[in-house]
Amino acid sequence: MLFVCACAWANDTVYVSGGIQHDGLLEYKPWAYKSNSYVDLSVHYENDSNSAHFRSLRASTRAELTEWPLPGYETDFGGHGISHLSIESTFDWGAVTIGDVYGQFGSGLILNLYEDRALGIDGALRGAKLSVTPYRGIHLTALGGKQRRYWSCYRDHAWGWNYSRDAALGGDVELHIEQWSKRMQDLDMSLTFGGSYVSKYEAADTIIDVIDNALYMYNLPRWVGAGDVRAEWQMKGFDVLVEYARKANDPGFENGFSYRDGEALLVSAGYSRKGLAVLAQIKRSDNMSFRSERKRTGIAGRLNHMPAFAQQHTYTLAALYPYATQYAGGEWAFQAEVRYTWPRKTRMGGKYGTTMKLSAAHIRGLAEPGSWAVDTRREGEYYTDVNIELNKHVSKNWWLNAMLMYQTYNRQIVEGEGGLVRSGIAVAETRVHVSKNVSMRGEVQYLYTPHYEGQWITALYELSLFHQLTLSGQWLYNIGGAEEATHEHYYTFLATYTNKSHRLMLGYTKTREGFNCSGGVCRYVPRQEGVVLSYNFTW
Amino acid sequence: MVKRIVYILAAVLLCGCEVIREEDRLIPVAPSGNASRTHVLIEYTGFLCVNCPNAAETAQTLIDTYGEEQLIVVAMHPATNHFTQTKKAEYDYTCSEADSCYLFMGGTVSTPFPTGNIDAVKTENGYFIDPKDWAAQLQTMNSADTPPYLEIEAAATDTTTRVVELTMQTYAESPLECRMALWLVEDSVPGAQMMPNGKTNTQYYHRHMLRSTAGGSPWGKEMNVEPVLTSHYAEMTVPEKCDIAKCAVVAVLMDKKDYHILQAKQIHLQ
Repeated sequence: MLFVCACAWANDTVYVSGGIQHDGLLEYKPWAYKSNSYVDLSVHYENDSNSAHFRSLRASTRAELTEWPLPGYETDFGGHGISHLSIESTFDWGAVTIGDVYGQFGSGLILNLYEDRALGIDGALRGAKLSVTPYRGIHLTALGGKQRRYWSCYRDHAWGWNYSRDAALGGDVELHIEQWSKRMQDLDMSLTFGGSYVSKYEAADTIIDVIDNALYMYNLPRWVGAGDVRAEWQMKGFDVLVEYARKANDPGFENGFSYRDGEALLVSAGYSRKGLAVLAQIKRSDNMSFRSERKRTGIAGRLNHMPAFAQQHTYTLAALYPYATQYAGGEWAFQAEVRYTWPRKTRMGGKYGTTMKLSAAHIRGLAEPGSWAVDTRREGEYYTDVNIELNKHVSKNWWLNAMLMYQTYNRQIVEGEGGLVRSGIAVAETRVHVSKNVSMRGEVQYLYTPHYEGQWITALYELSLFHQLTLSGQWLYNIGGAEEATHEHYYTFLATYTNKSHRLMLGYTKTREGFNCSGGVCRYVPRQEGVVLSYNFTW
Repeated sequence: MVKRIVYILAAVLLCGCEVIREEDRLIPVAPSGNASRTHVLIEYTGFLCVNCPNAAETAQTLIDTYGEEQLIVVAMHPATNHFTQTKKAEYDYTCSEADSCYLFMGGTVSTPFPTGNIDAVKTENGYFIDPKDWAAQLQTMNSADTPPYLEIEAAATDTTTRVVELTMQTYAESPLECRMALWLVEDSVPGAQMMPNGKTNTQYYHRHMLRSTAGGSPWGKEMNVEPVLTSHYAEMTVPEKCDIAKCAVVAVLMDKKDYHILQAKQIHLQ
């Protein structure tokens, strides 16, 4: 919900928007309060005159206080100061942004700059971005700048950024062919060709390696280029995308100073109509980690993002072993999904309809670096997820959801240690609207595996009152049955109060160590125990 | 206007890409060095860290390249980092002094391993240096400046009491306010280690492992190094779990304020 403070200024509109976010954890072993706080503020000016070239102006800023951050963030994540400043103007011919800019070219294979606070990612470039439409159907984007890399390591520079010594520049062209063809428009068809190029500059580093007891310095490229071409066709529910990206020699810490070119191929085909959606995707990537800083590892300083071809689960046990693309140097990924809804008043659909989703993902390594062959060895399997989910609207106020899942997770690839974990997971969830102001939700989940920590069980109960107060409790227990079983109980009890655009959450949590993932990027989160406090407000 | 924009875009798109030919990728470098200066490579490691054996090999190749007179490696297993955390007591190689040192440098439970530091010096990227950067860091730290003089001698260790008497001699061209620490390291400790193939090697030999320090602190005691040759005496007890034949004491002279290591010397107990 957005509360807009608007005022009329001649024919124009000026308003302010923003938000406050505070997430804290009070630990008592030993006592410590850790928190991440963000304050966003934007001032908007909109020119309501239809005849003017100038359309709008937005000035944005963000202040962060992460001096004592929540557990699990990288060492240099902590800090405080103004992390974001930008002014964006839109015109009838495009838009110009000066300051901190985000952006994505195509599927993000060579450029994807975004912010994800849960992971501690802020890939903004401090520079400029220009988007123009010089002719109908042609979209051009150019951007450049220096990438953010947390805060300065030195406290006396705490209000500034410790920029990496690099710059990144990029351009993207998109041609929407259907806009030039009346016949294609009549057929409800669209065809888009796109091409991008990103070049990063980084001053030479002295990187010395010992090879056969002799010292050698790497001759490192200062300019590294990456290109991407793509085509997308859409017609009457069908959608096909083919994208290929290639990156020139980019030796760095992450690829062990390999000078091999990187490349990625992505093919996606989908079909959807009312009640049915089908999607099939294939991806091959090799040595495509593209960073603004060659000596950087971890989460920060990434220019691109390899999309994860694995379903992002929300159920606790289905998400216990999530896949991360960031650690695999190369992979073949296959994913398919079918979603079908039986209509109401049919045998399977019942009175209110039933939806089934069948999803499968299988990810394997490359037979060897640079190879197009799939690694067929047992340890070459990185991740497999086959699941079927059934959602039944039983009665007017009662919903049921059930899921069965088979998963293989390669700990060695994702966590850097351990072997394969093969597991079977069963989930049952029910949601009931008891009355207009009271609703309840319950979940029971069970995971079976003879590997790593063995079997798990979890149960969750959630009570919502008056659309404002939510009380929830979750119990998670490691049943064991494997070598590294802990037999530990974990609990989370939360009370969440929501009023208009305010949201306050208070509770107690004891969680296991694990990975927090989003879009295939994962952050290790250590075991936590304490009182959680979270407050969000947007205006 | 549009023409100008197209020109700008063209300029952006034509930005450089430098391709390095295979024969030009490695440039031979002669080891730099100051014969009177010994550096300390603090190697942070953990038995759960699969890439740590590679880092240990890197450390060993650096010793082979520079020699023990110029480089001492001390492997620390800090309890705070998750790569050292285990429920099996026999796999626990942590010691509290390693953890103090690690926490001082800003280490957390999730700091990526392997990592390290040379001479407790903070670089522009912080204290932690990737193993791929150790050699370069070492090269840049070797200066022609005259370091303080430090020498260490050890009397024969009493095998009953396990006490060793140590004598350190110091000298500096001008008075220095320092701290002196004594670190006990044990080499070739057999035990478990996760290997790069993801499997546990129970016959792995952990090198240069920090076992204890004099006084229980990695930062030792304050002292002054004077422009006269001065002898200092100390005693250390070798912990029961350590094999005296594999132990050495590293005397570390560091700056009083920021704990930068100015000089170090090592003496093997047998």
